[in-house]
Parts: sequence; C-alpha cells; structure tokens
Amino acid sequence: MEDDLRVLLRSPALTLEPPTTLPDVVRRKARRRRMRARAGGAVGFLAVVAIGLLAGPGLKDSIDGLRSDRSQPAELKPDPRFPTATTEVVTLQRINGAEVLTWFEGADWCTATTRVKHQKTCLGPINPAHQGFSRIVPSGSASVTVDNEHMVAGLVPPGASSVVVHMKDGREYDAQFADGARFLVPVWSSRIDDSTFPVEYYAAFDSVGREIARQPVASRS
Amino acid sequence: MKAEQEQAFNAFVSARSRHLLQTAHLLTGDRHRAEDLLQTALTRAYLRWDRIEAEDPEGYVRRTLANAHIDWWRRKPWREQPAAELPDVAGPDQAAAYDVRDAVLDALGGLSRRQRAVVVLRYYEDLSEAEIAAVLGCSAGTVKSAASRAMAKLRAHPGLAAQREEVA
Repeated sequence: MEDDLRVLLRSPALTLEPPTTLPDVVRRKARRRRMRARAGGAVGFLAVVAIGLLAGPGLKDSIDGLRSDRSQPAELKPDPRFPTATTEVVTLQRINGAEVLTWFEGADWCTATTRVKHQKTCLGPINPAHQGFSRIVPSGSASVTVDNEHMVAGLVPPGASSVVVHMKDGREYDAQFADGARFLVPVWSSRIDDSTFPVEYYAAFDSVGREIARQPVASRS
Repeated sequence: MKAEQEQAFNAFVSARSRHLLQTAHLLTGDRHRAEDLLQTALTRAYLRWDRIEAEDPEGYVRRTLANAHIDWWRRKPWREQPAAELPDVAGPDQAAAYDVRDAVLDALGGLSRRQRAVVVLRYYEDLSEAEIAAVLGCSAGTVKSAASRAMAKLRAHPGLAAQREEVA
C-alpha cells in the first residue's frame, strides 16, 4: 500500500507547471508586507511610548514588589472576567475576534465566549481519574459558539495523546489540547462544520495511535 | 535583499517550485489554492531569506506550506469543500491520467487536514515520523495515530484501490 501510494502521489497527472511570474509575484507580495509591517511598527512604537509615559511609575512599583516577593510561592492572579475561577482562564480558540475560554471553579469545569459572557456553562463535579470521555460541551452550546460557528470541547481522557471528532458523513476533525495552571484535567476542543451532518462520535487515541476511548453521540431529533 | 541573495532566491524558486507546487496541490486538491499557498510560503521565505538561505530553505517552505494550509482551514472551516468536480476538463487521450488524479485527490479529500498533511509529508516528501512531528509542531505519537487512521481510510477508498491495482 505504502509503495503504491508513493507512486500515485508522484504521478505526472498531479504535476502542475508553476507560473513563470512566480518570483515577481512573491517579490511584490513581500514588498507590500514589509510596508504594512513598517507602518504597523511605527504606530506600535508610538503606542508603547504613550503607555510607558502613563503607566511607568505604577509598573516600576509592581516590578519592585515582585522582586521583594521572589521568595513567596507564585499566587494565581484572579481573572476579573471570571472572579469565581480557581484556575487560570485559558483561551481554547479564537473565532472572528472572539475567544472561547475555559477554566475550573473548584471541581466544576467551565466554558464561555467573550462574545456572550453571561452564557457560561459549568459541568461537574469532575473526577480526574474517570476513564474515557467524561464531560463534553456539544456543538451548538452557547458557551462554545461564536457567530454561528461551531465548536465542541471536552475533558481529555487519561492517557490520550489525540482526540478526533468523527462526523456522520465521515469527515474527521482533529482536536487541540489546552492546559492551564491548576487545571484538574487538560481540555480538548475542535472547530467543526456540522451545518449538514452532525457529530457521530468522539474518539481518543494514545501515543502509538491505538483508540483508547470512544463516545457516540445520540442522534438529534 | 542583496543582488546575490535575489539570485539565490530566484534559483531556488526555479529549481524547486514545481516540486513544492505539487506538495501544495496534494495538500489543497485545487490548482488555484495550491498556487496561493505556495505564494504565501515563498513570500515568508523571501522575507527571511538572509536567515534561512544557509540552513534549509526548502524545509522552511515545506513547513510553512503544511502549517499555513492547516491554519487557513482553522480560520475558514467552511472552505473545507471536497471538490466534486475538478476544474479542468479531461480530454479523451488524457483519460487515464485524469482517472489517477481524480482518484488521488478524492481519496485525500476524505482525510482531515492534519491526516492529509501527514500523508503528503510521509509519502510524497518522504519525511520520517519524527521529521513530520517537527514540521507540524506535534508529537510523534500524534503523527503515528493520524497516519494510521489516514491509511485505513485510503485503503477503503474504492477509486484509489482501482488505481493501486493498475500500479501493481
């Protein structure tokens, strides 16, 4: 199979002739990007100078404070957006300028978007030793949806190196893992397009690619 | 960029762009998106040429191709549209060649972006699992599991099976 695939991927039927103008197109694009970067750099520099003038004295006090507290164990800074969080608040995905966030509140696992802050979802209590998939926030939940773009998120099963979302039409979406300070369990998330076919099941794989857990999804009515 | 660096960049593009365009074609399944992807990767390489020239410019472009392709999908998932009809029309004397192309691109279109990148890097670029993991910024275990799931899907693809019999 592997050798046949090598031959097929190298087939002349798949060969394309690059446009003769390619180096010129690349040079023009690079020039435009450089000009944009320079313009952005100048604006950024002015912003940094302004912030420095405004916040300089306060910043110095903070640094001095850090120096004197070096011997103390690091405290988790409370996140003003979610004051009841007992862990770091971590960004799972960025969608259209909004962020999908996750954190824990004691033994509960929570998600929310920066678009609709009052729609947070908390599930629990979490048992970190639970084998297989324990908690999943499904596609369509307000706490993981931004502008009609869908995501699913869940807690990573123990021993899993990767998680795949398998759709009813056979498509698969790889999940990304996120971990934060004091998280009870890492969290997986995946952007999906379920506008035509919904999720069929979630599967977790270990480091050598063996499937170690599968969670089927009940059909939507 | 200095004149000799410009020359070196031109030489690199003329020597390797056909191979890299085929990599982009296998990743995207579409000629126009493949050209866009290659332009993006080469532009990034051009802007960093003084740093990458002495090391491995092709490796840099390959890494950018694979990751930019996955990032495009993350930003715009609705673009994930396996092509039902390919843009070019097959002439009668080219029918066998187009059968191969259609079968390969259709089979690759059934894979996830990461699986597709793993297959292209493994079987077209001939990279090892460890090298692919470095290119994609993931663990070797993730590459292994993506490859094994991708191969299971490719084995089950009827069009590809027919082409494999022709090859054998």
